[in-house]
Amino acid sequence: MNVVFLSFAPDPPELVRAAVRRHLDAGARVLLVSTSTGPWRDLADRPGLTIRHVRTDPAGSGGVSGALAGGLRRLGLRAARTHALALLADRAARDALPARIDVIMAADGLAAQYGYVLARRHPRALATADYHRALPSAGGSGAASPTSAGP
Amino acid sequence: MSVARRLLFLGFFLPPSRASGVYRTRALANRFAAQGWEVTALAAPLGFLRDTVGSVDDSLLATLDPRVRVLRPALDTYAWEKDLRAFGWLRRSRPRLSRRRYEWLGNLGFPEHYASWGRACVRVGLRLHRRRPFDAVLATGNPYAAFAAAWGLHRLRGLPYAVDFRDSWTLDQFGDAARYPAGHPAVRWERRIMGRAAAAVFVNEPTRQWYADRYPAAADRTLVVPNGWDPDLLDLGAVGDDPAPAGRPLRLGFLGTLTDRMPLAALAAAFRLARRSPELAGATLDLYGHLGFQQTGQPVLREALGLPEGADTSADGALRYLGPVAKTAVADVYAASDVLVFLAGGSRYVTSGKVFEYMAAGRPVVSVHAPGIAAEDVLAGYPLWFRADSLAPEALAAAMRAAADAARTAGPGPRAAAREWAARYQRDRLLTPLVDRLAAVGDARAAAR
Repeated sequence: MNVVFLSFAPDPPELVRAAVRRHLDAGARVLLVSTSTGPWRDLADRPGLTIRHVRTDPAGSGGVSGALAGGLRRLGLRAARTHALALLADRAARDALPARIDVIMAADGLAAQYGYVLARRHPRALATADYHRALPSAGGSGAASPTSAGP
Repeated sequence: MSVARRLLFLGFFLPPSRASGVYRTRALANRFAAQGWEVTALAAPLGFLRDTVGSVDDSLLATLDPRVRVLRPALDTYAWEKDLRAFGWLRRSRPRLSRRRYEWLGNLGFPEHYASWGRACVRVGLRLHRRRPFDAVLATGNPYAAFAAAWGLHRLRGLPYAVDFRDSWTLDQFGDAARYPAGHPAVRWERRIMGRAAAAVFVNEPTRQWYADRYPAAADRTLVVPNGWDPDLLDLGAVGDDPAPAGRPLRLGFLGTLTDRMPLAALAAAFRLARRSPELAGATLDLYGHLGFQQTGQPVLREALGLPEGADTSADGALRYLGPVAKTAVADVYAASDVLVFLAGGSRYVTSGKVFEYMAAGRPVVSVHAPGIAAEDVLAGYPLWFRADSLAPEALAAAMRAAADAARTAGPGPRAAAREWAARYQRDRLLTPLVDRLAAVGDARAAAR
């Protein structure tokens, strides 16, 4: 089971970290694409986990794209910013993306655009923003009967 | 010829929903229809039930009175949509703006994801009322957007309304405290709604009292309608009246969703202790139902119960997790259990719907919960009820031994007496005060016109 887990704004980080850990426990190979490194330090040595860091600062991202993302943000062009972020993420993850992706999980709103791009490329993959859910091979949606409380 | 009273009923979880609230919601609609009211019910969109949350039991549709006219106003499913492919441009490109649009334009600040459904109910209600006026509105929550819709119809057209608190809104019934700080939108809305409701209904007396204290001006309009059980959904024909045979170990049964609010560790410890005594030698504790609401919480629950990961029987064979049970098979669980374990979390505001079915089965019931919860008021008259004064394993084990003794010795007489006590909690009977109250309110309005 190949999982691509996207976390561009891990908040709250402990929930996101727990989800990644759970997928690893379930035996998945997880490619974690993230804009930060801090939350994943204690997971770094886990077998099956590959981490790709999306550098959004101009120096770290190879210059033009990072500067573009920062510039767009300063100019108030936030819509273009999410697309630029998706481009940066794709550049960071490209060499590690498996040929077959089974599950794409976007753990926050900022990651949705790149999740959508990957979902278009991999039409058979499950593409979800519900990163708490169990993996398909683990036996279903992970949720008991939804109750009246709703989310 | 008398003209039927007309009721607009706002009940999101009508069949085919299989949410826990469906039974009371269904019973309310059915009872008013049976009483001669012309009932128009506004319920959840089918697409939401089937595709968005996938929580449907089609067999329940047949249990809804055909005289109830059901309409299903629209709901904005933004909060439930998790499929990245279904995200629109705005949500992908401007996630925060998209969320704000949903919260402020979609919900108008109402603190619930069902707000758009509530607004749609007002629109539909106004349209229907213009064609043929209603006499009263009854809203059951949650979702509490139903209450807001009833309040809105009252403000716009003067329709009297009653609100049925299946759950408590601003009271954390498990934490025994207010759920929201003063000034929270939920608190403001509840005050508004309670201020003008013709009746406010609660599932037990402690909850009613809490609300009466909080809203003294509305206290004389509050009433209690306990949950009860539904004879038409529970065929108890297979549940016998004979004591458990001496030749086999006893089976204790629990049915319901196991959660971390329940005293699971105390239950497991007490049962293992009780099992050492001759009455319960070789006995099993069979757990039926979902193990938590989410898979993420299962390890904690398993640990508390002493169930190894991936195994459904404890190492000593004492506890068995047997999984969820279809509604149609619930009576089989009661038939297979010699003693029913009433396991509940929470405080004096908690009744639990399951206790009524337990009593209807006529089995010995042993309580495993903190002393003083509201369910005790219901169980107090049940002749085969066994309880401890605390959650100490020794005390609970003693109650379990007493229940086990009753399972072996109580014959048809005591079991019939137990069922007789339970008969008073048939849900349909319990709804009478509410039906009478709304009839009086509707008639008063008609007389004033």
